Amino acid sequence: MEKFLSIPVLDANGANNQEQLVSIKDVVSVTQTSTTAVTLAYINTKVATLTFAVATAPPLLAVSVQNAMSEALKTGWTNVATKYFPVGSTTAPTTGIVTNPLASIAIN
Amino acid sequence: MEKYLNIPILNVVGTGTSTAPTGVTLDDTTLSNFQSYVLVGAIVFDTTNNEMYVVTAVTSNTVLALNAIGLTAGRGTGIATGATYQIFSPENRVQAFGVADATEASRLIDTSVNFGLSVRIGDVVNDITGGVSTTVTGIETTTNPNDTLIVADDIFVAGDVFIVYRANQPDQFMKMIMSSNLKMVANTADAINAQVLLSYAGNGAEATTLTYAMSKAAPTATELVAMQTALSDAVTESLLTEWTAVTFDFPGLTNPDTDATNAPSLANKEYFFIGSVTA
Repeated sequence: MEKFLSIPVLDANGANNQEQLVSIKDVVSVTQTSTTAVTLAYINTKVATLTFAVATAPPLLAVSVQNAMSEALKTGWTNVATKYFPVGSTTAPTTGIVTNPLASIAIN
Repeated sequence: MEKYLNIPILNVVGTGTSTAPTGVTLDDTTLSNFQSYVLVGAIVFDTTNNEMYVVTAVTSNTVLALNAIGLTAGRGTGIATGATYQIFSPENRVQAFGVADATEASRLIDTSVNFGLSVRIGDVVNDITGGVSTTVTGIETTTNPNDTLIVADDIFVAGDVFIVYRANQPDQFMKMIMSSNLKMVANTADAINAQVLLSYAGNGAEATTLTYAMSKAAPTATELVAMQTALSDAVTESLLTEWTAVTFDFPGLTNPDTDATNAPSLANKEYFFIGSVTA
């Protein structure tokens, strides 16, 4: 059963917000590797790196991702994507524009 | 369907590279900041030589007196020059540090600190300069917001170095480690028998290594595999729960050791995990 976090992130142009899906299926563990980076290690040895815009002392970023992941996995199979707002981000109430989305999402 | 163990992992509260030891010690004349975050009972892990210690005294900002822990064969005699180290706080969580900049009865005043952001009533304050401790009974403002602690004993004068901590609260967080899709839970071949490996049945060789503070000098055969057994049991239990119970709290494992060389701060408490690496 596929599950994703839907995360606001800057696009490759570095200026436009987009919602990107990050799989939370087969994640072995979540680790905060710096004040701005969190890695999701998958069972197939792939690693997704979420780079946050706002520096935050470990392990708070990793814990926030873990919590989002845990909550999403508790939902029924028809709830495929769960919104995740990065720590330090805010959403304008009128426009819905997210300030401080993730700076990037990389996978290798 | 994913399942996870919630494992309490101690936060790394300090890191550095050792300078020449002056006994069974950790010396760091480069950073020179031990008094600002280290308390007696802290765990020191020499990550270069894979040796663990417990702090028996914060001698100065540059020297920690240590007690080696773990299997006799794997015990160190002080952290060698150039070794990298990590420090963990298994018993107390440091909340503030500084130097008193005024003298007032039963008060600790440091106008550079907003104690209201981190300190609460009941926290312990060590007067490092005077070598005595007291407790926080209130917070008030002298010059800047919340820059004054009301303390139970009149021990502070201007110039005293202090550290505030919350007693009996490990500096740790809960880390989710996948307990589904496991291939194997096994002790690794590490010299101090302080690691358990969780290997997964994926396409690659993904595995998580959990490191804990094994303290006993001569554990029995049963004790040598106790953590591996406890984690295996927890994995089984987690998989028996309903699918909506995504996480299962690892119930912990008591360190039964009371031998003379074991650090008193670790014996008869739960083992402390000091690392989790997935690779």
